[in-house]
Amino acid sequence: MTSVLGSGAIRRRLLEMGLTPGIGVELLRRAPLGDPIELRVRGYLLSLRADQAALVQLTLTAA
Amino acid sequence: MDLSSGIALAGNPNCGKTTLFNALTGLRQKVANYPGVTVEKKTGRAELPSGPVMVVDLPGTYSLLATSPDERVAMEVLRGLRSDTPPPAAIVAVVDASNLARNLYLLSQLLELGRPLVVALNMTDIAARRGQGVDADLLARHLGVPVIPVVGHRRTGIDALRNALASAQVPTAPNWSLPDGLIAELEVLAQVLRTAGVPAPHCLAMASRFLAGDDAADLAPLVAKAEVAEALEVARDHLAACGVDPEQTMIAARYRWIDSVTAACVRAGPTMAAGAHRTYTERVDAVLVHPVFGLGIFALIMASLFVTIFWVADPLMGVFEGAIAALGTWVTSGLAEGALKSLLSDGVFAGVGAVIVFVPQIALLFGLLAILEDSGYLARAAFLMDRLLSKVGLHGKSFIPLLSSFACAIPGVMAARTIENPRERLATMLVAPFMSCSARLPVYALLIGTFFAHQGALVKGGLVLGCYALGVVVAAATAYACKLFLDRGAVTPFILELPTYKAPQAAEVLRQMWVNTTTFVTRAGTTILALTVILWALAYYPRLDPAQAAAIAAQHASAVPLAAEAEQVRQGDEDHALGQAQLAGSYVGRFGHTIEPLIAPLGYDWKMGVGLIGAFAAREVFVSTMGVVYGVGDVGDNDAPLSVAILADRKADGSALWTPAVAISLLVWFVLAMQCLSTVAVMRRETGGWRWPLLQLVYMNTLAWIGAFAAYHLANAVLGT
Repeated sequence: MTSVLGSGAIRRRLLEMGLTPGIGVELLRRAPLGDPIELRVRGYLLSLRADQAALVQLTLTAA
Repeated sequence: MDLSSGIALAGNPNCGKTTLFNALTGLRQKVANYPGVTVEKKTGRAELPSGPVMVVDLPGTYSLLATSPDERVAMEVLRGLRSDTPPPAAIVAVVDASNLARNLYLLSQLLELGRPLVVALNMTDIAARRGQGVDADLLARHLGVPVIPVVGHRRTGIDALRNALASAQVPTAPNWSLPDGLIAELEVLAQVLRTAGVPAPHCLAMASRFLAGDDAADLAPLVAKAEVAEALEVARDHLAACGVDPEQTMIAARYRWIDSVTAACVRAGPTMAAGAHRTYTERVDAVLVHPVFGLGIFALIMASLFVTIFWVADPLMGVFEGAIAALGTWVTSGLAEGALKSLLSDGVFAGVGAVIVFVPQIALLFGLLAILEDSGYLARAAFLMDRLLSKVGLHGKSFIPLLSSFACAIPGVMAARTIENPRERLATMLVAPFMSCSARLPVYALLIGTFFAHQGALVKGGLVLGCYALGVVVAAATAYACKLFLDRGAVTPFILELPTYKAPQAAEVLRQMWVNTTTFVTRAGTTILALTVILWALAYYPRLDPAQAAAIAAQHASAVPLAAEAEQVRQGDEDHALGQAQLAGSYVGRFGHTIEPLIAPLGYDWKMGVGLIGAFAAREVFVSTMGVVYGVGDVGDNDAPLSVAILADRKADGSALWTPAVAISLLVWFVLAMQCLSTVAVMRRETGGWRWPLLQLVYMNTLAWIGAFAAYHLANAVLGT
């Protein structure tokens, strides 16, 4: 994960939830209806709606 | 140390804070609202070695930079900014050992508050199961505060926590390394704050709060000073010029500090070290949020929840109602007929019954909710349904409140408490009463049974289904309107943590049932009782003129003595006629006439108006009120005499008063109208004021009028009457 785009409260909260630059994020699945998505961040499971997940910039690495 | 101003329990959501609160306080708890906000304030008394102290269980929060009213309350209590809650003498920071890094983020902020603090390291059992051993002693040394391992639901470590609190100290804030450029700006800003009158020891911490984007109430008077605002602007510009983002830098610095702490204190067992092994929770999730099995299991769980509150609660409700009615009869049996007896039996006991009748549904729903929430499934249910509901501005967690509202809006509105986002919670509560509740069914049954009796099952079933569908469609449209117009300025991010699966604790489930039921009875119950008594008085007064009553009795008198059975029928007819005359002449009856011009465009006359007013006690009361209006008595389960009377009623011009178009108009009215004072009372309790319930009342009834008007004229055009 490289950075969180956007601004204000949403961006700050995503950072505070542990999505800081350099951290590994694993995309586990999408919800059956396509949204939201489930991530593993710092050892816990976090779910984000697509519009907020889109703010999270990642570099892909093989699992 | 002096703990008399109380202790606050702070921690992330899902960290087991409430279980620990229960373990500390036992049953000596109180649930109230923080004034002015719809946030629950939970307080209790704990016995410490030094004596009893007040404990406040703060809403779960991820950070002191609040993004929701719940989090704002937690932050304000901790910072001592609320006049309704004294600043806590000490803080218990509840930390989930199985999710240490993210929990330590809030702790990093709590350490800076300058209040004595003890860490309760919870869920060490789950961490151990994952092979993560957290060394509490090492952690205490790194954090500089006592760390007490506890397992809340097994009550282990509670005594050690009590002892540690008695000697808690103010911690030294840890030092996370920040880039030099940022430190320089912080120091400049701190100097400005110093000259603005902030005590020296707080200046640097306050400077970093400003640059972190904190907007807490204690900072506002400083920002109002021109020199502070200007210095802040300058610092931000400087940092932007050299590419430093203060918010991200400071959060990342805390997490770097956290990483060094966890690296030193967490012994990763073989399962974690291998990394490839999935945790128990992830294996369960593979099934429970699976596209096919997951939705299937979800449907099963929701179906059983609905069956429980719709059918299982029903006989219990009958038992409760029957018991109250029997008690009322027993209490009033010695009294002479008159105002007092009627007040007690038809006002007070009917009101108590109207409150008690909701208890089984509320208790069962909150029991099930506690099981779903404690187990961790509630978040998965929200994950599965969020797409569907977020399209109209609701939340995945709106599903259960709305589903429950098909049984009854009272528990449905209360269940919306599980939604953290204030706008989504309010929208859920506002649209919940559009779901066709079980109290509407007797009305649907009477109208459809009377006017469409000879139609096929397809037509009758279609009409019932249409009523349900109309409610759902209008609810969706209303929720969408809320999304567009309500609090557009407020941004609350959608953050849904999927917590670790745990076995729900029976004691916690029972406690939830008890707390929610008693709060309903004491808070909303009193309003419902008062409204029932008012409604009673409006139907009881003014009394029927004795001369008129005598005339009615004379009409029904029999010249010859009757056999017992015939006499019973005669007496029944006389009572029904007296009841009819009394209601017609009462304030309710007069009000029916008053509103007639208003409801005439919908095809109704004053008698239906009386029924609509009566239905404010509960929608099904429409049926029994119409029974009294038509002089056939309380119809109970048998609608037939009322159907006959309704069909026989004629207007002045001799045409039928009740036509199928009138029936359809009434169906639409009952789908859309807010006809339930109990829901109004619960809305007042849940939203903390009259503003939203009154707005909802006006909105729904205006919409119902428009809908019924359109339906009446459309039906007339189609059916050709």
